[in-house]
Amino acid sequence: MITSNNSPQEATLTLSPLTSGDLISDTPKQEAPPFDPKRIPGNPAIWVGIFSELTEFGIFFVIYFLARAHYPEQFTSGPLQLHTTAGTINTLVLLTSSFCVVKGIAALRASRPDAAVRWLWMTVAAGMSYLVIKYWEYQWNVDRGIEVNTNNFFAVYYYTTFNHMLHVGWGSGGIIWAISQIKSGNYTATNHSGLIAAACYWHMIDLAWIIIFPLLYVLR
Amino acid sequence: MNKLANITKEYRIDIIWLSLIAMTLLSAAIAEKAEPSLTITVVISVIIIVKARMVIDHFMELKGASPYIYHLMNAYFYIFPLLAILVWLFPAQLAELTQLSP
Repeated sequence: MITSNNSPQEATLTLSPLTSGDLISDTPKQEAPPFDPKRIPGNPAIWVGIFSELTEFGIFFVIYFLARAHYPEQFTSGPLQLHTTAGTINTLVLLTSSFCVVKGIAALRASRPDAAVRWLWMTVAAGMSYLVIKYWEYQWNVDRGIEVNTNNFFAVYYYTTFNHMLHVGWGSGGIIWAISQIKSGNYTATNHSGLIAAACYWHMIDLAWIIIFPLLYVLR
Repeated sequence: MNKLANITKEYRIDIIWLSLIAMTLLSAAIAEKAEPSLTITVVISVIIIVKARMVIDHFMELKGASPYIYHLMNAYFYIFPLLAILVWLFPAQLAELTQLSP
């Protein structure tokens, strides 16, 4: 469904520009293969970004597994010292934010841009809540003497979660940009590939946390 | 039955969201209560896979999109849970393999 809303007209314009060479060439003009918007949700560029980000998170996960193998005691005791409830609430907040994005897209597809904007603002609010909870959690850690250099588990914890927190920050910026495009009428029920791109990026952030949460807070 | 199927279809996204919430709470309960074991590691890994598949298939709506993107995304969320199980099973071997000094 996400993929069915890219405007075919937009895609044709993008892929079949008329060049001066076309006008003077003797050879029969070759038709560009029909672009199937169902193939790539949003646009190809966002998927380069998404897989780049997942590679970055993948490196963090590999470091986690290697450090865990070398320092098993630290990785057994470390999660017990973290605020599990804060991690859990942030997981719920992120899942809810992804749900709001889906609802926002559905509303826009149903030609209800005002409702779409409301859902997307809820996504941004969830993103901001995540950042506030994460900041509070870091403060809670520091109050208990848990810092980056406490041990290898906490080094992995801080680097991974801080990196993820940054993604939530600029992912929220992407959603705000999509909201501005809906409000200005640039995104409509049939043409909103930019919103789909921002949504896919947001879901990627959620997906990364789906691995981070159990690795750092649950598994011992 | 048809009525129930229609209701389920209409609220599919809501049901998926609630399922994701329930699985997260289950993970949190495991973190608080259960003793570490291979079984717990497998259960948590399965929860990661199920949650990721729900987001990929229904939230991102990648099912039916480019198979390259779809399968690559799915593979990512199978590989890392599998690694979690392997690291639980063979931590000493992994540590030995990745030792920097002889």
